[in-house]
Amino acid sequence: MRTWVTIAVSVALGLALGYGVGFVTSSAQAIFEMSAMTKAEPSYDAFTTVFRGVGRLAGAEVVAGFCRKPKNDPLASEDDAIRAIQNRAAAADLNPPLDVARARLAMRRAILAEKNNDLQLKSQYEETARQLLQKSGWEDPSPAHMRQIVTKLDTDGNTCGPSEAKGAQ
Amino acid sequence: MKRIVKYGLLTLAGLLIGFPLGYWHGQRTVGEGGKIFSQTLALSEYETLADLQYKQADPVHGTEAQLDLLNFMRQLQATQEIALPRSLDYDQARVLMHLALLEEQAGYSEGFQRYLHQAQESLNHSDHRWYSEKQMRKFIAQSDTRSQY
Repeated sequence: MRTWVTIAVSVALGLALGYGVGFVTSSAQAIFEMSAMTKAEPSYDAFTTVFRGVGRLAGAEVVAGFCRKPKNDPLASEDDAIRAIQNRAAAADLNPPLDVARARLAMRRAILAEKNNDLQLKSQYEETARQLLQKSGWEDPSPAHMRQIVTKLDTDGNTCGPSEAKGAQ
Repeated sequence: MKRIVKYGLLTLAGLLIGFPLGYWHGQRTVGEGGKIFSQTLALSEYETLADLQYKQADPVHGTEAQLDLLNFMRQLQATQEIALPRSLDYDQARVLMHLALLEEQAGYSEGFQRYLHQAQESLNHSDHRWYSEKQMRKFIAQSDTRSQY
């Protein structure tokens, strides 16, 4: 009787350990595969690179919209993701409106500059946003309009309340 | 000593059986969740940029952005297993309705009808229902008011 119990315990222990290791391995692999987590490998085809780049851009945008300042710089990640998309979009036969993404990024930087009382830098970023939106055919390319949109995006994404979003970038 | 080896081998056998089970379960749960997360994230960002163009830019830039979004969705369908196919059908119907309305605005009734039919087909694919033109107009109006940027 005791022998059978020991056998059962040994097998059960092995099963539990194996299951745990297997689960953790595949989970780690899945997390690594998530587009928002890692940069695209050079070996990826053009579409996959764009797909992962857009995912990373989305992830960085969510973090950039947080009211509390995150530890890493999501705006640098956005810039990086936009470049990655730009580099392979044509090869994937895609032409996403990246100037709109750049204008949104410039507006976020303008808000940050305003928070740091650097009004000259703020004006520079606002002008960049205006030019990009004008190039994109916007009927109202004004920085004030883009700022409203950024605030709305953050509120819609539930990353920041409307009153907080105005000045908490 | 012989006993320890025997039980050690039994534990190893259990481990070898348990590993693929855990791996398979991880793929079915975390793996599937990761796929949904990645696809939803990428699609929502692409849609946000294209929809901003549709709402804020002139019709030429708006059409360009919507056609590009449609191309992105179709390439996604062709290259990956879609985690939420009904959601993608719904999103495609939205894009096609935007294109239909842009054609209508430009005075091209033929183009409007073509995109409207494709949008109806896309929703039919997900809902197994055929929506009338009036219902499709209501669908896109409601969908657009939800995102007011």
